[in-house]
Amino acid sequence: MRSRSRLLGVFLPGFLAVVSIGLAACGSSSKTTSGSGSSSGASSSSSSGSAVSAELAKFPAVVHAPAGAKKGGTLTVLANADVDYIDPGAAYYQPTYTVDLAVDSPLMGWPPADTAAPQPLLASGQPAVTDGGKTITFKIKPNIRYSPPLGGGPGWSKPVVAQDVKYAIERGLLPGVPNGYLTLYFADVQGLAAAQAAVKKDPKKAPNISGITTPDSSTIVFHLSKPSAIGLIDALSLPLSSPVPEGYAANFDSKTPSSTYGEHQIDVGPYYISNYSPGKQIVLLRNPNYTAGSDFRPAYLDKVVIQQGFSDTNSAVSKILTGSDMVNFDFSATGQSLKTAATQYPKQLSLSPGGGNRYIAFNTTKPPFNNINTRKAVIAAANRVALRDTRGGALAGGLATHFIPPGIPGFQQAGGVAGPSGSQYDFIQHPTGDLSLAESYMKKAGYSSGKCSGNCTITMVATNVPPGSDTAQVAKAQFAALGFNVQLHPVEQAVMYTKFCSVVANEPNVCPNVGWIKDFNDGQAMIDIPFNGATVTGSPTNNSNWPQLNDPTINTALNSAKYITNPAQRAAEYGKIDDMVVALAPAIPWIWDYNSNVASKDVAPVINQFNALTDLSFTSLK
Amino acid sequence: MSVSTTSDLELAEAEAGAAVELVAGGDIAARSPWELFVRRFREDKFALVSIGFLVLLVLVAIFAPVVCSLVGAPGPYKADTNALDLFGQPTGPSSAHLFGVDQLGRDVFSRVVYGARVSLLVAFVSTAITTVIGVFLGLFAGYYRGWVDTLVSRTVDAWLAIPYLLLAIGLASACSFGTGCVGGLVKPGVPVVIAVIALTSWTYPARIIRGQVLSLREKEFVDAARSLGASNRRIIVKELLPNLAAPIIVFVTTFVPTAILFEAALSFLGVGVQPPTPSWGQMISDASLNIQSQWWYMLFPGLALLFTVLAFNFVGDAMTDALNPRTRKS
Amino acid sequence: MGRYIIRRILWGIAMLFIVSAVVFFIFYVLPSADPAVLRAGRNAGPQQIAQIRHSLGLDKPIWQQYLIYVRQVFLHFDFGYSYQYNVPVRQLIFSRLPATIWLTVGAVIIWLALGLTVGIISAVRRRSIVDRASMTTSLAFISAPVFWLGLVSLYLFADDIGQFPIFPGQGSFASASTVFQKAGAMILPWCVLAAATSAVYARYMRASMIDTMGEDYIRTARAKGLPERTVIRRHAVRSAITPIVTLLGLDVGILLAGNAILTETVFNIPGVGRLLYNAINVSDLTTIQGITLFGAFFIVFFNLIVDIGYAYLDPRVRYT
Repeated sequence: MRSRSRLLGVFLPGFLAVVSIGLAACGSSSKTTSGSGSSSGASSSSSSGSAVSAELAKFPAVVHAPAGAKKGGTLTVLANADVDYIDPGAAYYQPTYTVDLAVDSPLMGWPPADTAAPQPLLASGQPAVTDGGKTITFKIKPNIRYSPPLGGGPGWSKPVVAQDVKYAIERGLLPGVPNGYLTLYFADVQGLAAAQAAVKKDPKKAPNISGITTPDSSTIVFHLSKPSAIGLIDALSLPLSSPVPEGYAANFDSKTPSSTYGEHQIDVGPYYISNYSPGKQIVLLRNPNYTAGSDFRPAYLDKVVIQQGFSDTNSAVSKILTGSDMVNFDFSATGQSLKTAATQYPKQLSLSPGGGNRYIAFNTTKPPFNNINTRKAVIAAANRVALRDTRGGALAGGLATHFIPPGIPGFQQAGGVAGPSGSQYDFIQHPTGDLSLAESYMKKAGYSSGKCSGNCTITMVATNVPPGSDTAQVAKAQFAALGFNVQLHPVEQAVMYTKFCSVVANEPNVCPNVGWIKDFNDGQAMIDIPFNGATVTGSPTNNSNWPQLNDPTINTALNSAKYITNPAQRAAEYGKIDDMVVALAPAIPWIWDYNSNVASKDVAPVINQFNALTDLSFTSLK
Repeated sequence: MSVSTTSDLELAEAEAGAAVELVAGGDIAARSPWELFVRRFREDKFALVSIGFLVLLVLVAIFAPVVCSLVGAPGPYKADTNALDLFGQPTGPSSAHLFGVDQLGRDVFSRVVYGARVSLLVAFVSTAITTVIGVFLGLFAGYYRGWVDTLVSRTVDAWLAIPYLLLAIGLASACSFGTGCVGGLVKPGVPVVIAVIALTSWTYPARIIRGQVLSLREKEFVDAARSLGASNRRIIVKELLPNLAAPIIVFVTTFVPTAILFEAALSFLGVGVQPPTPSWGQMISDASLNIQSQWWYMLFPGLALLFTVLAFNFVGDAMTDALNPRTRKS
Repeated sequence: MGRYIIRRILWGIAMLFIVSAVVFFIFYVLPSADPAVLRAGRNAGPQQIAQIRHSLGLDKPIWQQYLIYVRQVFLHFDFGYSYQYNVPVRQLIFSRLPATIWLTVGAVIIWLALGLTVGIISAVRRRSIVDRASMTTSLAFISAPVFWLGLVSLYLFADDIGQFPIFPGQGSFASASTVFQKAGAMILPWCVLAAATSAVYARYMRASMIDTMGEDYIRTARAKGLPERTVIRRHAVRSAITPIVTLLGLDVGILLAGNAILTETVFNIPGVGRLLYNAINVSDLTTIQGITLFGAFFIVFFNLIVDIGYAYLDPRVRYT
């Protein structure tokens, strides 16, 4: 049967799929009822308070292991789809991080409750940032050893050295290890461009990045050409910097078209991957070569089995709720199963902000949406509560009023739950829509009747599986209320992105199923790429700036904001940019997703707020 | 596939175009093949009821808006958000909605009624196209033999291995935009479904017709026509086609239900009729995720499909029996 | 006979070439998602995408890609790497085949047993209540979409969500370890898959039996004084079963080629059909090609077996 979440973002690393990363911090959203058009919704919350929303408070996510947590047992994790890559160098999909957080040790890591900044994991302490933010020095812990290899064989008996971390990062440039964020977050590392040229000539050998040096076997230094240390340190919490010894991996990395290291990997975390059947299951066992206590991961479970293929996520959720020793992997409880969980098994459900948003993007380069007043009219008319209902109502997420979601620095500064205030933002201040305001904007756009006249045909490309297809249909009806004749074309999600919405030349007038999940908790990771004009010119066939926004003021602001090192200043600046983007009305933001995680009654789950999913190193069985 | 022979008496009967029958009382009455056919068809009560049901169904499909307003149903496209509960979940049968609502709040009764249009349209059109292609190719292959036959037969063999899903999804995404493909004829939704069904199923009638033509072309009346100097075209049109009427009719009546189910399966897998156009297969697909608690919008379209296909099958069976001279025995 | 087999094998190989060419053609003429962009991810620039496209060999002209692929497959039995899972396609298919084989074999046994029995009895007792009832029931089963039957059976009987939970639910096959558990997890899928097919076979068998029983040699056998049972078993069934055998070969080949997609999806069985469907959705060309070729091979193979068996069963059929 066709699943709601099976195809959502299955193999699109980072594209807003089913789940997202998040922080359970200060996001408040008022409770709204679906359907009836009476309430205005965004009224009650304060913009400076830290009251957690009613929904989040009812189903809080546990972020610390309970006192006296028991060691042992096997946890079964039900999954809809597979990880995007089993190779940590290429992994980018949020659920994949569930596995990687347990088996890999990048330089920095995320304890479940910490989301402000990553904590040292392989690194023995916080890095030394010198030279005005251009040199970062890490010391790594001694005596860390590799696990037995996946797929059998001799493995690697030598301990981890700094050179292994350097090689792990460099191999991300190989076309056989398609890393999705190296060129983005490591852009300022010296020698990157030369390394990229070198790998083009010889795609079978990982090139040397001269800006990464290892003066001795326990020290690694990053030399940057610009002071973007914060971004780089955050990026070093992603699995790419988990050590990979060149002597072991070079052979696998020389294979084309893809490196086979992933199926033969050696891990350094408290668990290792002992078995991988693509599309079927992944088995994690305790890493016998891991020294307990060497980092902040307690590792209670003995074994984890991730079973894939549960395309009917509703029955998977009910299986988890009524069974034992199970949790979910890459799907949230939505719709009916969310209702069941919330009403019948409230103690087994937890909600966490997902650190992502969803919006309906206008193509601002062609008529009719190249006119800002037309766009504002549609946003004013949109019933965002009805849109959110297609995902399950108030439990599915907060009603979005701007683009940075709760938990990301800049959220409060951009207006918090209520969104930006002021009369110039009036079009975004009516969650259930205000037709008369919309009509007044239409008149400003030149449609004297208040509704579209003349050539009113617009194209919309959406996904063909629920709930995305449902959202598109609701959106279509809302556009039609203003007189637009919408031609809706549902296609496979992969086709929607790679052939239509992300291809500048082919983009339709409206892409209703787009959104963004953070890479980590920083404004840059949230609104830079989606709204920076450079994205459009730089990647015309893989464009994630779906509105094709290209405003010089915003571009300049984004390009300089990433170098701000003071956290408070950084947050304020990104909040300001968020509001500037909202003012240009490039899209209709409608939800800040919650991840709804479920667990069987005999599981004590711990949710890691980095990816708002179960943390396997902290979860235990009761 | 069976290699048995027809008895000579029956052969003579069929070819003479008349039948001899013993009637109680000792008189011998002549009946035309058409009368015989209607007589035998009438014996099958199930088939008669089915014909009645199908006529009713076609009427309902054509007059769908009237039917809906008679019952007070709001129509298939109106999303009634009041029928969704606090969690955005649909409610079941009620006085406002006879069959409940679907996940967007649309009335299931109306959608089942309008869904008949899609199912019947797809079934009839795709059957027609499939039959035309299949008969054409089968006829040529069977009559001309030689390289034409080899080409067609080998293509038929290889065709089974092509994944039709690939074709369906590929067609749907390629023809998504603007005027679609083939000058606007092929667009995602009903046209793509029809194209996929026709492209994958033409091999069945082709095979059947080829077999029939192979045996027919050896018969005396064809020889007779040829010796009289008739051209190939005349032989095909005047001699062969009329004798192929029976197997063609049988094929059509047995294929229509298959086409309906094929459309339902394609919609179920997401490559069929596109929302918001209601189609029974699509509704079952939407409903499939919530059957334990929202049984209504899987049950009603499923029953509609079941009864429609059943009716076509009964009729098809009766036709087959009535047209097949051999089942008269015993 | 030997010459016939050799000709068929040669034709089978030719068919594999043709089928893979057609799949390539469909894939390129009808555009779907772009595997290079999917692999590269959302942050990748055009340079990176181009590099990945080059490493996948997708920037070569189509005919060249086809030739390279064909050479790899036929000379080295190397089906390439899946774009999606990054593992060899051959390994991927082999890991999914067992589930599909489990499904097919069980369903075949049930539908043959049920279909043939019902068909024979109905034919022998023509126009009796038994005949009418069984033919109508089988018609009902054929008329219900197989995925609907699957969903209804899950709703009624599976213990995830069923009203009368007696069978394990969705996904139980994947987690089953012993043969016994696996069979238990398969009972419901077997019944669902077999339901519609057994109905088809029952009707074919009935029609075939009726045809056969009207033959002269049956009349002769009866005239010889043989008991009716023997007449049916030794003469009628043996001859009536030949078209069924052909059908069976085709059906088994088709199921193994991935056509149990609907049943596999409803019951979450990790088989070849699901794999094909997923691969089509993300334009994983190598996997699509691999499964199609395997499927074509199965179809050819089973067709051949069946035609040879046909010759043994029916002495009137001879091949040159």
